[in-house]
Amino acid sequence: MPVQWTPEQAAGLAPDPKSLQTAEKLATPGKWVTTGHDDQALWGECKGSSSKPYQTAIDLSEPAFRCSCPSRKFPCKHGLALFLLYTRNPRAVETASQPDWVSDWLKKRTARATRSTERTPDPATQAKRIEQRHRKVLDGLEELDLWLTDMVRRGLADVQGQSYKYWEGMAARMVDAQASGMARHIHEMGIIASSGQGWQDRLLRKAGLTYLLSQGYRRLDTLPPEVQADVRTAVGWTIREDEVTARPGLQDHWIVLGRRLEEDDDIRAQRTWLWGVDNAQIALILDFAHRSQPLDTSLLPGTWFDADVAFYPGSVALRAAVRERLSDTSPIDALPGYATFDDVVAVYAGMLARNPWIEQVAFPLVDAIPIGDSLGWGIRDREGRRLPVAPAFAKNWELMAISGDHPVTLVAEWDSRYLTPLSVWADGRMVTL
Amino acid sequence: MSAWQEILNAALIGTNRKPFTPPAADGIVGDMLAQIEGLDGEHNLLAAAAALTQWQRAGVLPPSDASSFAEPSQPDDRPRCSARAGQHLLRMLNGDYVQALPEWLDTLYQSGQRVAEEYLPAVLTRGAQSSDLREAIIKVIGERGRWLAALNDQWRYAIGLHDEVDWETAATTARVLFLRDLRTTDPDHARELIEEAWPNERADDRAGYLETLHINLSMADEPFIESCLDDRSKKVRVLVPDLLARLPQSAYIQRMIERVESCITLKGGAKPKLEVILPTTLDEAMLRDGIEEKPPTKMGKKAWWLLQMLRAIPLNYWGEEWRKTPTELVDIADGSDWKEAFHEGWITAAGRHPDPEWVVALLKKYPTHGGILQSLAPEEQERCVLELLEAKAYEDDDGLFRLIAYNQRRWSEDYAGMALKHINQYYKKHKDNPNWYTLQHIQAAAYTFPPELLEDARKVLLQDQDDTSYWRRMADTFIDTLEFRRSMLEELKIGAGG
Repeated sequence: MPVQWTPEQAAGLAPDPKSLQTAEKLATPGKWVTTGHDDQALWGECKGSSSKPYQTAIDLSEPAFRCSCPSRKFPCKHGLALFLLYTRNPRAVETASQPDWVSDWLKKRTARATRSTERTPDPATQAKRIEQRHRKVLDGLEELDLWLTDMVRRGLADVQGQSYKYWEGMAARMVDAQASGMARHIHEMGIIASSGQGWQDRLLRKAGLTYLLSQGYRRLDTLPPEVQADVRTAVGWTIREDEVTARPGLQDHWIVLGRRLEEDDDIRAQRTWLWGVDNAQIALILDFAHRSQPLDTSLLPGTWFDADVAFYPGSVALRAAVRERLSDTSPIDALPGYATFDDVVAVYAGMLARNPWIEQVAFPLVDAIPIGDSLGWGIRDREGRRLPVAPAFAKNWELMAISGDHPVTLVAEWDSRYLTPLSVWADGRMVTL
Repeated sequence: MSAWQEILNAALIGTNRKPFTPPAADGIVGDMLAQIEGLDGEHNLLAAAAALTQWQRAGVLPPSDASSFAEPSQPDDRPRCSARAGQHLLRMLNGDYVQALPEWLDTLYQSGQRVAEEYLPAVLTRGAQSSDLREAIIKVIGERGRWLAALNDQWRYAIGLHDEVDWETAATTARVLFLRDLRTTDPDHARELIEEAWPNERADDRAGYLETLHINLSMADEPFIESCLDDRSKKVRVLVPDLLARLPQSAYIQRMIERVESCITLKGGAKPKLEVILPTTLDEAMLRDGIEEKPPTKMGKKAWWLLQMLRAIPLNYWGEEWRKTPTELVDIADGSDWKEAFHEGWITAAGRHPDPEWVVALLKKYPTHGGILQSLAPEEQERCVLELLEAKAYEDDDGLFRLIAYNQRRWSEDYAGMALKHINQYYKKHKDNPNWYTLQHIQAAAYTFPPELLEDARKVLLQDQDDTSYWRRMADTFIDTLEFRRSMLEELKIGAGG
């Protein structure tokens, strides 16, 4: 049985809302001269402005798109429309055998995939490049140290009144120094400075953690290898996914817990959280995409699969990559979780103790009850303890409706201040928020 | 002062003004702070901030919640709609094909399902914005929806009152909703509640209650409504004639008939003629029956008095009285000096007392009043339109499609087939220069057209190969809408276990 894609997943591939709107108009059988699908692919020919119809094909295993139209959007409106049409009503597309233009493309894809895994970089050049970058980062952090101590010398009350250039200038310097993780912290400090009540507290916390990171990197050689990895990752060094998948994997029965998308200027970041049932292990699949590129939506909350999952190096096994899927994907019929908030914060504290730069971690909690009252929105656990929901969370009423004041299993990210609900298991089904 | 507060204060002021030394503290925190020995005050401050921040982040103790629980929601016996049906709903709530929403809600109810929980907030909010959807929404939100609606003032319209204990304490809008509900099941009881509350209510509230009597109106209501002719407020009195005029046996209608009998006569002969002699002043009884003296602008005083009497009388009276068919009577009235009063009075009367023969006769003469078709049952509406089309009772092509589109219920396949035939003819005649309004009427019909005839509709509408033409754009929207409705209805059928 091929992967069952849903219309939400299809819509989630749209590079922007406008593309989705134009695709909607083409997502009806009347717009297509021919359509067909088999277990591997979906294809169709769409009437366009030129005399020859556009040929659109989708490799259903990823999904991957191909279209003969000249659009530079990816996926283009034809690909998106065909996928929407098919996911909304699979019966609208009949099973057929692949036309040549589809099978040719699929063959080329397989060939390309094999080639790209064979390519290995030259170790000597690579070591040189790494050393050069390390120098650049250190130079940048030298400046950052001056900047941070200057801030403390003048006092936070003084720097709060600075224009955005004060913050963005330093953030840009960190980007130049190839320390993008640092740049993000500085950027966030600028936002905190003008965020209203309680900014002093939040700004000092952020400054403290940024300082800690900067100090850590400057003493990198003295740290154990796992902590080195934590620091390098937090500063902004990336690791190629094939380096990760080359590491030993953890085989488990993985449940897709939930997903959260964050957009910042042109970059979209998606966190997908997996739960390994046998090892009680959380895993984070991070996916970044430029605004005009699709995100991976193949991990659907509320499904599970057996897989071999490899973790990125570091002292806490958290960020991961799927090395190999060992089963098909199926809907879950139960969702295990932690029993109390005490358990959740204890596990979280254990992670922080090893890696202080961990930000948010998702946890499933059984017997959770969403509450809204004069204290605001919150979640209560079975022991009657309560944690607040993040002010930015917009679906509190939906969550209330799903629970109806009955206990549910809630998946939420915890960041030491707030919970951000991601999905909820109630009445035998998973609902994403 | 806590150690954190000391560090924060130092950071706010700046080490330039006041040098920093790590604060003393008890226990682990104190040990940790005591270990900080950097190069200078600034580094020490940043290190202390980092250490305490970590300590606090890791040491969160979830507080006990003292607030009390609300009553949990009761179980629902209807199944929730499928995920795909939810997708259709979501698209409509986001603005696509929004005119199909009433059909979705109604079909969901008919098929014994309810709105899935996660869509309840959006659906309840939609009902708060569009009051015409509320009745349909209330039927499909289930127990969970009612439970949720009680938590948000904006959604309170959706909470039914269950018994008279609630009635005593409820606000006016809730009472009106309760009365509307009760009128459908126990109309007499609802009226008795109104009568009891009547003496103590404000005029606006009395008017609100009185209007609920339109639901399941019967002769049992007559004595009470009749008594409202003497109400102290005009807000209440103006509502009474419309109610009494809908009760064919009412004394009010009888009084109006007696009045017209004495002032209208039909002179017989080969060319029958109407003679109207009206009194010079309105008497007390006429004023009590709500006949207003002062005419609206552009109308003579006497014509206005006549109109008010005519519109109160069921149309079948005239045929029986004068032994003529509706068509004959409409012709005679149209030829008289009082044609305006007859025209308007009879159109209003036709809206109150469904009578297909009269509707056809009136629309043949006055084709722009198609709205009166909506008083008829769906099959009768269709039959009347077909008869009018047969008689070519429309001014032009646009009038023809307006007439077809007056039927706002779901069309039968015969009716839709007829409409397609006309659309095809129109296309052949005007494809290069279609009338904009006509295109709008055809496009709007995609919401009443039966999706079963999608293929037939495609053949007729998509003849135009030029996809930039006005016609083709209308046709594409029509077909898209119809395809959406077809998949929407299919999904609801599957959800119902069909």
